[in-house]
Amino acid sequence: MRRSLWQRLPLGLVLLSCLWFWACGEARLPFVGTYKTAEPVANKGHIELVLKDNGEADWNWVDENRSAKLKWRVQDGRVWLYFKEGVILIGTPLDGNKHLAVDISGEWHEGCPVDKCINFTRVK
Amino acid sequence: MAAAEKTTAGGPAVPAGTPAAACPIALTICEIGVEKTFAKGTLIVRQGDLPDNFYVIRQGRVKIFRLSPEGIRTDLTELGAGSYFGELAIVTGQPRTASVEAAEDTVLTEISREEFDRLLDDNPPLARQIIKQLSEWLVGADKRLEQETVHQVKVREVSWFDFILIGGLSIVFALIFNFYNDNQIPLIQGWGRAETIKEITLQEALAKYQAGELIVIDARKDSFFQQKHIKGAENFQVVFFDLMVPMFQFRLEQRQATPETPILIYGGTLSRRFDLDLAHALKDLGYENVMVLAGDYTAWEKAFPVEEKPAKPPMPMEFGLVGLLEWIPVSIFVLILIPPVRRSPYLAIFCRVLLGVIFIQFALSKIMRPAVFALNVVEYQMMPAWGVNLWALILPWGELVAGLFLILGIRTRTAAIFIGGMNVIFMVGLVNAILNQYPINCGCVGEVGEPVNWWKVLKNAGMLLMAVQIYFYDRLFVLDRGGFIWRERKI
Repeated sequence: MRRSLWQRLPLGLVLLSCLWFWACGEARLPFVGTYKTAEPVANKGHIELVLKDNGEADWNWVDENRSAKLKWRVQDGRVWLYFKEGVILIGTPLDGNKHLAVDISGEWHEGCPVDKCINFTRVK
Repeated sequence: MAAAEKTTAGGPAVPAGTPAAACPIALTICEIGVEKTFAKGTLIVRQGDLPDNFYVIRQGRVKIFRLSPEGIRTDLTELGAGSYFGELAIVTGQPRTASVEAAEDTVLTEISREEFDRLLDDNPPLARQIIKQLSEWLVGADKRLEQETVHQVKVREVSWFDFILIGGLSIVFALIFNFYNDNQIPLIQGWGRAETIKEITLQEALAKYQAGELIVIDARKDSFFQQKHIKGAENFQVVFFDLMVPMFQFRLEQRQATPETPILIYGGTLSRRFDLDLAHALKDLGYENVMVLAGDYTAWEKAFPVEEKPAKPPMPMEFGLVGLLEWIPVSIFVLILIPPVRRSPYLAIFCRVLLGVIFIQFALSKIMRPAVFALNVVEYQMMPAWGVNLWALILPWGELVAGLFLILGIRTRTAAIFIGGMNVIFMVGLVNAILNQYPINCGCVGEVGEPVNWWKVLKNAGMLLMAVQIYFYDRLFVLDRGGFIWRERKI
């Protein structure tokens, strides 16, 4: 039985699409908002983390007038922040998404290690 | 049955569909046999039946076809009025080699075996015509057999074109995708940057360090710093620089650093000059007296007093279905021990699908965010800095293209070589990382949470064996002659 490439192509595309969607993250909406550190960090003031619904994020040192761009997505109920240099910060939502504990070790941990953790509170 | 339309010998070629005119006088066929009429679609001769009769088409058309044991029908030809069929089986006494059905309402002259023999005895021109016809078939069959053998050898051959095809597609897709990707990375990290950073020899640096004239900063990732660093050094992970600048400034202020304070930065590797990157960043902040080690910038480990801790691998993260899929290649070691299974083309199909799915998943976990994978590549410390980003961009597309080729049956042997080659490279990287105790993520399935260990090497060895099995025994469901077909690929 001879089947043409064009008959097989949709199968390949469907397969690829399924895997593509599988590789994508979960819904971002519950986490969209502005978060601010509970306390000043390293005597340099607060950090503000803005998670936008388009998958972009801003990391602002409010008092220092410094800012960095990130991308973010949700996996297994946690917020994964991607920095352009290739490092990943994983944020663990707490108290019904009111707080976000961001692990700045750049590694995956079950929770947020105490000495590598920045705690944010949702302000918007 | 001939592939070409046949006409009765000795008379003029009769156009197909000529009503009952086809009765060559010289052959006197019309004088013998029984006239029979078949409605359109009626099976006149069945493939495999024992032959009793020879047929001349008086009116109408017939289709001649073969059915494979799997039920696959191959239409051989159509014959019209004046043509004949059934002579091959009558002459050889073998079962019918093809089936014949009426393509439209058809009138035939059915001639029995005895009548056919008599006809040949009485009609030498017809006998010669049939011998000629059979000889032509024989020669034609030999040519087709040769063509088929040559074709099958070519199908199984691995050509340079296949490598260029897979490699070329991967490169083209990678470059185009990176151009439009929001998470785009430069093709070569630090390309064209003017080096204005002061270099200092190891001996000078050590003398200043011992005199307490230097602030020493390690620019590597925290896990490497924790494992081993110069005693008293600070750790400013350059990959976090833009995120943590104020924090770094605060720590420098705590060390009473001024713009003129000498700051030695180290931590460069073959794959990325972290030291130079951080030096440039601090210089931009106003710290003018930053310097890096000249010559062998990795020699600090032997020259300076260091603080060491055992390597702490990343915490393992659950990878669900993909993590489980990755274990299946390990079972291949058991299957390979059973010779009939080892040679089975069905095992090759299984290996193709599994390897294809695994490699497509590998690819999808890296394609969207090449910077994450590039950092992984850097951590292995095997790729020269100029090649890191190119490798991080192209490899995932190579995995995707080769994986899709395996699943869809396109140039499977070449795809298997590609994937086997990648497995070898991965194993070399993993073994190197294990022996050097690098505290790094594998970067195989996920982005983080994937420690490097011997299990990973074993899984890759399993996948390599699967690729070898595909190379030697893959035969079924391959792309052939412009289409995908189910068939045995035998020589």
